[in-house]
Amino acid sequence: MIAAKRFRLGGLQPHIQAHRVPEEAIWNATLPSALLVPMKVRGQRASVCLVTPGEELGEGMVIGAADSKGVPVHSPVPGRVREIRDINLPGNGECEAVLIDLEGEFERLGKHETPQPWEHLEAEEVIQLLHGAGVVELNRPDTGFVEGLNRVRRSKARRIHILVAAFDNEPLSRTEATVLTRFSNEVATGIGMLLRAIPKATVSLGHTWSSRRGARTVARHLQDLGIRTRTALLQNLYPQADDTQLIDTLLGKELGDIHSAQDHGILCVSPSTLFAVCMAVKYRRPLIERFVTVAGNAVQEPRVLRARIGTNIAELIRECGGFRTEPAKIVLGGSFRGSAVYRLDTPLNKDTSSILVLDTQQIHDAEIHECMQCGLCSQHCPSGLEPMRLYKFIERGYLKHAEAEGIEACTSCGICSSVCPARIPLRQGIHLGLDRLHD
Amino acid sequence: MTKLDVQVTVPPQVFQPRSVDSMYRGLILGQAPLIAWGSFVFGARGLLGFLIGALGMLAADFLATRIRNRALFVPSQSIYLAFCYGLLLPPGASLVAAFLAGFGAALLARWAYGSMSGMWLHPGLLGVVLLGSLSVGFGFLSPVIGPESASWLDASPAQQPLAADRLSVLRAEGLVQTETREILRETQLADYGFDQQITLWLNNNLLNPLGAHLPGGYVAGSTGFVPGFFGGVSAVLMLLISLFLVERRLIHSRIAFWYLSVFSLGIFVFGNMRVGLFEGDVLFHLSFGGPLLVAFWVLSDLTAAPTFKQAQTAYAIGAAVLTLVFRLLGNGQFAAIYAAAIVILFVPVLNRYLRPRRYGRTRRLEV
Repeated sequence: MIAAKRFRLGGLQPHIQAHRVPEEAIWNATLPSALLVPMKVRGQRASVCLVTPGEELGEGMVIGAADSKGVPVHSPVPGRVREIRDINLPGNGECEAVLIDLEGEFERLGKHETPQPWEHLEAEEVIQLLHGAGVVELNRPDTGFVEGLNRVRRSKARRIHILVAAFDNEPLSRTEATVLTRFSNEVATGIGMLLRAIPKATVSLGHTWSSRRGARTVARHLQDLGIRTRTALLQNLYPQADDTQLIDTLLGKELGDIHSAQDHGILCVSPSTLFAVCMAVKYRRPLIERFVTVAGNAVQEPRVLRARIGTNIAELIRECGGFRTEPAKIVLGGSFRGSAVYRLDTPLNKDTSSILVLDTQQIHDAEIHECMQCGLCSQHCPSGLEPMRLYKFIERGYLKHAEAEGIEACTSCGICSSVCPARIPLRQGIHLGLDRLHD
Repeated sequence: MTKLDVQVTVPPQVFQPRSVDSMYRGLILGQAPLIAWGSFVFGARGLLGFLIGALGMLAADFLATRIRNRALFVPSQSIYLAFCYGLLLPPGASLVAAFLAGFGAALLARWAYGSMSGMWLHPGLLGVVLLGSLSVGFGFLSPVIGPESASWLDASPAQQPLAADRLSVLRAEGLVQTETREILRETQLADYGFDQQITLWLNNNLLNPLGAHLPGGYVAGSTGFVPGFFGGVSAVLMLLISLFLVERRLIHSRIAFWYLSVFSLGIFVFGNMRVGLFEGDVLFHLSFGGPLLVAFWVLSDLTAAPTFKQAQTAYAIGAAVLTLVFRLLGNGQFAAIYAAAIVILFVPVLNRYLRPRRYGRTRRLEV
């Protein structure tokens, strides 16, 4: 019996799991007649809209240009631009979005795509292809994938690592595990392509018990490609897939600055991103669709869907049979870090890994009380902080004390607020403190 | 329909099932059997003392929230802590003293820290300490104004419903230089019919085949027919309830484990020094439920205990060592309570210096 590894501090075994989401099955979402494509991805600079109302578009055509700090946006379908509007994306702020009416012929969908040779591509060519295709780290887009890749290449670290989190970080999501199993060849090829960009990297694959089959298949494919891989069984704890915790568990290293992984030569990547890398390099396919889990007690048939960017969530929920019960919350992105929405016409974006339709039973909301000093927040904090202590410092204006206590090490995982029996908004308080410190 | 009537909140979007109310309701549920058993063993007088003491704490807490606008009265929290205090009361304590001590403990908790559980010192424990202080006052005042006039301060359990002569044996001699089985003979616990029957059954069916033997008196002692605190007499009941508390994660089980392990080991090694080392009667000391009550209801309380694992272990071991010292070298009755009261004072220090190293930090904290 192999003992599953875990990170050193804290963590949480979530009480809700994706039991109702069928394993290893992906449904193709029906194409809607209109899509609303946002020009911004969370954590990236907004793209500049290149199209005007009435313009005809081809499938995969660039409709938003970006510099090195942003990502280009592509039209997910052939059609015509109906209008450009300002929208408010949850967790993303205001941005422009292009409303496209579906019309015309598809150039890729349903057609045979000729794979392009990639084995002899240079590093710069690979990175150019990825940037041009608008690939982002689909699980954590604020970490900047292509920019991160460049930082890894420029880093002076003695060893370069590619760490693959072959499991879902957030409970209720099955996106990564499903992609890993169904597209293991593409995931392995994606790793091979990244190795063209960072040739000396060591590949480590962390998986949980439920994703072990997919991980083993990927490892076999990598072996066929002549790539040595280390696999490790990890405990199913949140936030195991976060960069800091993944690095701790797979490499035994602790970084002083949570944003410096890439400067230390470590690239953390998820299976769905590797799939997108493979599509971008092998088929020159831009990132115009993604896999998304639609789950929760209030949805009829939870599923993993393959859907085009810009599809509104109402369509995706309808794809899963509609509402089973009255929803109490609709969340985009995961139960710990995701944002709640109230508009069903909110579009699917590149950074939406899951759509959770939750009922009151799953939320476990309760009245806010005073702190009872139970210490549960500190015990579960994966960074080893004392959230309540930081919260009290910030409340009383002692920002320097909060800084000395390590507030910068907070990764906003949300565990402290989630476990707090008194329902104190610890995560928000710490965020406020960080904002004040940076001002 | 584009817009839905749903909650729009900041992350995290889900919470763990435990809430303040659900935790305290669970704890009160765990207290209920102890209250029932204490009422059965000590009778109406015991129950009255429990209720008056708890009422004192509740009344002060309620009044304090009315005076301080910012304070929040959480009924489940206040009831749990008031019951904790009541369970720690000597059953024969003066009703006035019990009420006053509870009232004072609640006022001190609220005034000092702003909420009943905002302070790390367990309010129930604070209440017992204040009660002890009142007893000291009784000791000073009774020669001056006469024991009758000063009786309202008497917090000693001399009037508890069990026969006073049995109790006086324990109180007068303590456990020093006393063979524990002599105490059992003197308290005549082994004469209880049910003790004889159960002891016989256990010996015949379980213990004798294994080469062991249980003398008389232990069954009665474990089930509660002994002097002690209102809620702390039945070791068997407390062990059963502890399973519930651990399963629901309402207490720090690590603390209870370390405390009882170190205490038991210490008793085994040093418990009967008159005879020699490794002659201690662990079963006897655990049967008389003070350590069990303190282990599961005081030391491992989520609020009173330190936050981190290392600190919890040090805290539990410290409390166990102190309990051993007080039990073996002093008056055994309040050993566990006094040990807990002392070691709880060190919780902020333990939290500060025995904490896990933060990610990417050296061991030394830079302030």
